[in-house]
Amino acid sequence: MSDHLQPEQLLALLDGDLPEAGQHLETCPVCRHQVAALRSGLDDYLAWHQKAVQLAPPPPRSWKEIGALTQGKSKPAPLRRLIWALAAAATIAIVAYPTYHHIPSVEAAELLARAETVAPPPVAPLRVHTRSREFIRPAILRDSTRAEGADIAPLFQAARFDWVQPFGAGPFADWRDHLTDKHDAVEYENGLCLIRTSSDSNSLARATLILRISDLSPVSERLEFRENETVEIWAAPEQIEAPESASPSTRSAPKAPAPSIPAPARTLHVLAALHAISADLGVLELHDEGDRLVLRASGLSTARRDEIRRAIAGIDGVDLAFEDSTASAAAPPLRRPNPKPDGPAPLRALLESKLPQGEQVEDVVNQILDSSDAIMAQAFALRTLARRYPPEQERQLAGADRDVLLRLRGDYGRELNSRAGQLAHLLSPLFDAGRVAPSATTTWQSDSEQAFTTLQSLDSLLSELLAGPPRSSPSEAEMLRQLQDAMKRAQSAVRAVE
Amino acid sequence: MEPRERVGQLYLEAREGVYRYLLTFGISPAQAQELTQDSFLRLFQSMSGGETIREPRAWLFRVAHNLALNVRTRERTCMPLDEMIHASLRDREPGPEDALIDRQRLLRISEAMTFLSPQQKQVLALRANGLRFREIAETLEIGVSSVYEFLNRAIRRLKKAADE
Repeated sequence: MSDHLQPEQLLALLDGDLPEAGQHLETCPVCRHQVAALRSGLDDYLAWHQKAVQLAPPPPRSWKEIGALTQGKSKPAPLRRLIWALAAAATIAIVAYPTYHHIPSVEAAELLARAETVAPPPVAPLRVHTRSREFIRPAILRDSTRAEGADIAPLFQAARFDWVQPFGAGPFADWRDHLTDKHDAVEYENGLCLIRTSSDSNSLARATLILRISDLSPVSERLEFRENETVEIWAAPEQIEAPESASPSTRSAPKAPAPSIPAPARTLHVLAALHAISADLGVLELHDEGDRLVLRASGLSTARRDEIRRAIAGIDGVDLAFEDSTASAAAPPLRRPNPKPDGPAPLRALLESKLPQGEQVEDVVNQILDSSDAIMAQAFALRTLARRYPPEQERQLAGADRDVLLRLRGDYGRELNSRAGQLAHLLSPLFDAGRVAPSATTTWQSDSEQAFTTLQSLDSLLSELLAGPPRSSPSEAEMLRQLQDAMKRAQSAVRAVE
Repeated sequence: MEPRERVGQLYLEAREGVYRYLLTFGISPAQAQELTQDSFLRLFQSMSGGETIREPRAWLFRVAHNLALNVRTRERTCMPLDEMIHASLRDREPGPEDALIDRQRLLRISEAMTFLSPQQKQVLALRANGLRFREIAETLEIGVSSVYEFLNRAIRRLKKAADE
């Protein structure tokens, strides 16, 4: 019997149901660390969840009142069943539409109100394009008479469209609310929502605001005035200055000279440089911002930052943005407890029975799951590369750049195969994965997608069969068959990208 | 309290949480909304029929969970919520609030979320919706120690990503 808290007790403690465990924690650093790690991890997740709540798509229709829901009482009346059937048919039609973001028939006013609530007012400088020129201006003007673009300010004033802060749902909605006559149209395409409002009486004849559906943030605005002037506005993030309050280490490095190589190839060279120092597996984020590439990272040591600076020093058009992590120091290493799954766990028990004398099943399970983690990181990197360089983009690369791409994906493919071999070895007490033929598709890009998907399925299955009981209760032989099949599919897909 | 009042109160408190939980299954917003309403309707019907439901919140999530599984096995699904959120976080411009919460750390957690198994995501999502671990176990029809397994592994992955 262990002296440490059991899994059920640890969770009860987190629920506040086990106050007497407090005394144990005072004297047991192992359990204390474990509880701290769980709390800290849950806090990390909750931070993400809060952001996800803000970004999750709103329900497409107004919520029905509970009274309307319950009018049918315990048994749905025939009419109500018909309504539900029709509703189900409608939702099936919506699901059949290939994009997640399709939100039908939401009126412009409601959408603008939601966007005002959900998306913060833009703060990035704005790029303004008129018929005769293009210029950059702040998101909010402090002195509208002296700023560039003062010549078009009267157009905005005449139309009662806010020139001081002209971009986003707020000013658009304010202008729209003032109109005595208006015609709205809302369209959805490619993850974007277009709100188009026209008026016969206003000097701004037609205005179009494009929002990103996922978070309702503004993408661009097009204002068509009657005086033969059209103004287009969008955010110009490449002009963002580091906040004055930021510490020196959080500021972007000074901007390099204008890029001398095309943007797609530049990204490729950066990826290759990062790959050479093993910094390309999810630690850093690459963003195209205007004509520059911004590489963001946080929480890296000074030595690692210097290493990355050196690695990309020869590539023009790349800005570095290192940020200090505000997170507390990492928790000290924990000794993993040895929880037992509920009820029989045949696969785990089977694995244990097949291990050589002296090997602990918990250690082997952890090795298997960690191995799967490492494979997923490689597969994700390869998929990212495939998505950045679809076939049409790849064809546009110069020969030398295509060679770099070939080497990079070759490295990922080989590493993926090597790690898949290690995983197969770890699983060898359960079954012999054997050799499988590659299941290549038409392009390496789709092979990469396929590899990622099959590896993700394998990872989920490993997690389910080795770290917890399966959702159903298949026989041991059936579980083994499922795992073996998943492993074969994964190996086959992985071989295709080698 | 009458069933209609009890369900009405819960409807106001929990419908958004149930709706977002359903989105994690990769079903469309329209369908998630329908299933949310269907879950509450079933709760009302059960209570009206005299069934004693001691933990209606957990009951509700369990029904919603099963409805979502039925839909997912029957129909084409869309991009899961965590992948959509990660894409949004990655692509959107940092806002004023982002300076306070370490956007990069959040991005890494967001990316790591897409690697978690469905059960790991469900445990976390249910916890974020205020369910106790015992209720999470009932909702997912697994034992509490299995909840621990999923939670522990999910947290290890998220911590590893966050502290990289």
